[in-house]
Amino acid sequence: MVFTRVTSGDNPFVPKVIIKRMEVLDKPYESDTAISLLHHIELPYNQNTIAIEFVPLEYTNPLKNKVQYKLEGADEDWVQAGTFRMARYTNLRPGTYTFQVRASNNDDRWNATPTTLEIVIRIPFWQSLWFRFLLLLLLLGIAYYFSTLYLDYKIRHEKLKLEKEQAVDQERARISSDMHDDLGSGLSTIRLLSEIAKRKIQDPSQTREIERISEAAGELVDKMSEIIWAMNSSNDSLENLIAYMRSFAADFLEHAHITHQFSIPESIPNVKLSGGTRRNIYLAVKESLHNVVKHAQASEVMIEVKMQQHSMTILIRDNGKGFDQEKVRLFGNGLKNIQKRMQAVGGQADITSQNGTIVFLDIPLN
Amino acid sequence: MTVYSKKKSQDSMDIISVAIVEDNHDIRTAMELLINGSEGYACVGAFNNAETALEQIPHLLPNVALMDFNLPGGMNGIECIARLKAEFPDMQFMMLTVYEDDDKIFQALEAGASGYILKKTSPGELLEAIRDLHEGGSPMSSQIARRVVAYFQKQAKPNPALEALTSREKEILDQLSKGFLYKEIASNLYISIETVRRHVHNIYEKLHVRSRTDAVNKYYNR
Repeated sequence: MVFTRVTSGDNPFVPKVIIKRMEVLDKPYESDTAISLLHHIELPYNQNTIAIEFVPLEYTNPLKNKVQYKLEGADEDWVQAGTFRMARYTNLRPGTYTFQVRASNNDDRWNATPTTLEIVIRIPFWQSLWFRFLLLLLLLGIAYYFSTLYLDYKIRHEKLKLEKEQAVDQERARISSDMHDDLGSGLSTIRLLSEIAKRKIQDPSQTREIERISEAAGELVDKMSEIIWAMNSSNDSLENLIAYMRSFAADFLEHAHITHQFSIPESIPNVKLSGGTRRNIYLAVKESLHNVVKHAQASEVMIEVKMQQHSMTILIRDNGKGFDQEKVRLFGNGLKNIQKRMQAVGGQADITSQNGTIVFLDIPLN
Repeated sequence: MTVYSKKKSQDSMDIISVAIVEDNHDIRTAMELLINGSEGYACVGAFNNAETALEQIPHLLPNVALMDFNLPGGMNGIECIARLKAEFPDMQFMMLTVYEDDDKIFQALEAGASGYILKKTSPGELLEAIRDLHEGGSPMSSQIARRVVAYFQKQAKPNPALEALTSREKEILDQLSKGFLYKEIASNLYISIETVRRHVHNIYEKLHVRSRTDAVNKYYNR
């Protein structure tokens, strides 16, 4: 050991600080290794109040030693220790801290390398990333589960509503069916009996009224058949409508001994048409053909169905005497009805007279 | 309920024996009178409910049975047809219906009917229809044709034991479902109207077999 006389002002020895002791939650920190030799301490999240006691190793003029410390992560700047050689930190948040402590000798020469101790306050498991991730997954799982429950409930609710509606519809259908049956049975009876009465009367000139009764009853049954066809939703297709109209037209014109020619596309697009729409279109065509048979005095009729991009056109042309567009009132409400029916389906009717009557129906399809 | 015994034929013309099952009194008696009053036809029995018809028809063995849908009591016309057709496959059944209600008519066709007639039909047409049916021809409207097509298409598993539709039958069905009349189809295919009628009749017979097989399968849960 060499003692060197040092005069005031040029003490070259820069003191080192050692950490003498550490307290956690006011209880001494137990460790196998001496605290002064430790570089890294890990503490659980709830042992987060610490006190560190440190001492500079400079005994020239101990009272003139200055100590500074700083806990990286908690202190913004160096803290003067003053004479109190202890740093205290309460309720440290989880994280990594570096406790740095340095001293200066009596000549204010600071140690460039402070003594450091890394302190890690471990995060509680519920703050750890994996836990939060699992929790998120769990919450998402729960949210998903509840959303499926809600969806199930909604679906069941809708189903019940639909079933109820269907039940009401079915009831309505049953009532109307019963009503139709009673009416139809009665009308059929009237018709059959009037036919038998007609047969019994030998003189054909006497049977005109009975003939009319029979016809009227038969027409009513036909009208009700048409209503049943329109109401049946399994008939809601364009294909069905065209078949129904063609079948009626062929039969009707056949009975009236009028030659007929149909031009209908081979393939008909798959378009859904409601019962109301089908009925309007059918009746417009029926009315037109009735006019041909009753008024036109025609021998030939041509019916042409054409498909356009968003619509269908029906052309009914006869070779009859046509009509006087001025005196259209002769047809009663006939032509107006056709136009009204077309309007009801969002289409239009053009009825012109040119070497016969031409009825042109334009029907939009979606 | 009136029961007549089988009439012997007086001349060479085939006498068609007809039974009527119809609960509307006026219609039933009118038809009875009409049939008995017409040459070549004989009404061998007229019933107002299915149960009695089921009892008596096996004894009377009519050529053609006219059957109404709604009958009083437990059984309706469709069930009655199904039972009788199963026992007497050669008996022809004609459904009596008020309207051209295709759903109901199709049900009857499935059960064993080979024809249908509207109650409002004029007497002349009624007799004609009975004779056509007896001679192996059947009517089919465009709407019925559409349902028949759908029925045969729906048959998922082609059972080899069941006869499929011939190409001629398919052709006729196709034209019918488009709204062509028998007369038009006959001229399109260069055959007679009777031939068209007979083809339609055969289509119905195949329909019967299939629908019976379906019913049996459904029953035995195969």
